[in-house]
Amino acid sequence: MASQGGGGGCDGQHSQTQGLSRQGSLYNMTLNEVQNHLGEPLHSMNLDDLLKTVFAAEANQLPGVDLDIPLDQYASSSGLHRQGSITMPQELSKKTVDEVWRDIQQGKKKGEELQRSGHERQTTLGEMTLEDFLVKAGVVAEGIAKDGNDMIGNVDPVGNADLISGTQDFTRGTSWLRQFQQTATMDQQIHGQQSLMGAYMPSRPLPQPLGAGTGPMFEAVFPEGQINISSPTMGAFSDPQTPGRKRGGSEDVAEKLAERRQKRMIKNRESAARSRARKQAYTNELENKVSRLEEENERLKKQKELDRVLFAVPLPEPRYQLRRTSSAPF
Amino acid sequence: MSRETDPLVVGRVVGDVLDPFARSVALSVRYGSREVANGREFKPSQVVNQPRVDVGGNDLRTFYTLVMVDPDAPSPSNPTLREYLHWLVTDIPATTGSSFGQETMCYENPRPSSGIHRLVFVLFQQLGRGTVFAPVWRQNFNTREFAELYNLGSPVAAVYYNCQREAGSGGRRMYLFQN
Repeated sequence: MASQGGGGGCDGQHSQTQGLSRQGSLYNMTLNEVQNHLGEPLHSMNLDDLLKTVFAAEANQLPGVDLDIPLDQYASSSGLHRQGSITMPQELSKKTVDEVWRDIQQGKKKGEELQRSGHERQTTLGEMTLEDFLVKAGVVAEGIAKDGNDMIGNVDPVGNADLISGTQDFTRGTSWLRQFQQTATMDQQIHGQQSLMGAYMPSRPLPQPLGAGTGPMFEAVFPEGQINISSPTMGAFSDPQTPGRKRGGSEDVAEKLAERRQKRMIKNRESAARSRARKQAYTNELENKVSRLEEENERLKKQKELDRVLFAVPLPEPRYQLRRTSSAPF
Repeated sequence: MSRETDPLVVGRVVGDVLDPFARSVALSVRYGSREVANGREFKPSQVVNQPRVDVGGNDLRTFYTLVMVDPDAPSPSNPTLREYLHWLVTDIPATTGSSFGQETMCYENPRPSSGIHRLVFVLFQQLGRGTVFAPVWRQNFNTREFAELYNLGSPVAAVYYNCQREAGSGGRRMYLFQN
């Protein structure tokens, strides 16, 4: 069921990373630019509203590259990948931008682990890029990772768990992906990324074994998504093997529990997907059967009518009839 | 988005076991009086004996191979033995049935222990008589590779049913914790 796992599991992640990769250009914009672009003040908006307006802007900007052709049957709905591009914890969406920014600043003062480049040390909200803002807010998983085994950072990879199940050929995929991700990150243009993805599309429509196809496929199409996933999960997996880390033992245990919970969640999701597929398949079979039988019924009825008209046999007249031809008086 | 309606695709038989194909030969599988229709459920007690299989086609000189596999062995959430070969009948002449072919791998009745399994029947056209042979093991059978190995090409027909433990509770596990 690995293929299904990959498919079913990836629908959340796939939509999320697809959203990220499409909005690459937007994410690299600073919040000031976003504000100018949107023509509205951002500060007092809810995170929910912020993202909605950002998406609306993005929708106008980019032509829809339909990347979910092969994985259509796995995505729970085609519309989902637009709205569900970013999954947010409930509490975050209610907060306004201002509140989140305050949290971020407080978090920084606590001396959390810092990510890569210096531009993340933005002093003003406006100069921060959209991507970093969302990352700091804990909305999305880490963005483009330049080096391999990155720390997870201050963000819970939301929906990250989905991909764990689908990563059966994950380990051999990631080294290939690291090379790919470096080229992808260097080429920051969305068009470059789109054409890269576009290049992988043609290999899809052929009747490939979907099991084998899904694994390398979504690795190919969603390099950033895989990057999102590979770094945090590689971090999680390599944790137990590197003793003497900064975190204490209790944190490892908590991590393992979280992992197990995630795995169970994935399995449950897969099982639910199988159950739905089973039900739907039987319903389809019955519907097909019904329409076939109805057609046949119609056909037979018409045939019967035709036979009746064509081969109608006239009633034979009785051969001998008693008739009075004459009445004699005697 | 046009919704896929082929039960073989929706049920992931096309995908997990087969590549997309076009049906061209009639295939009818019957356990007793119950006909196997895609997605129908059978209990293990109903499938103890091999089914009656009737095959279409029109030329008695055409021969077919019938494969019966379980892609969800030992359990659909953990199909490490995918696919498990339950039955293999070769050299079935067109317009006849399984009883006229060679039972290359005898019928092993399904006894699923965990989860709801799909049992898939696939019909292939052979290039010639006596050109298809049994594998060594039943588990980890690969229908696609098998077809390629013996030049069977694309399937000409397929049908599947679902089967779970006799006292099954719809695939739900009775114990709480599972790694």
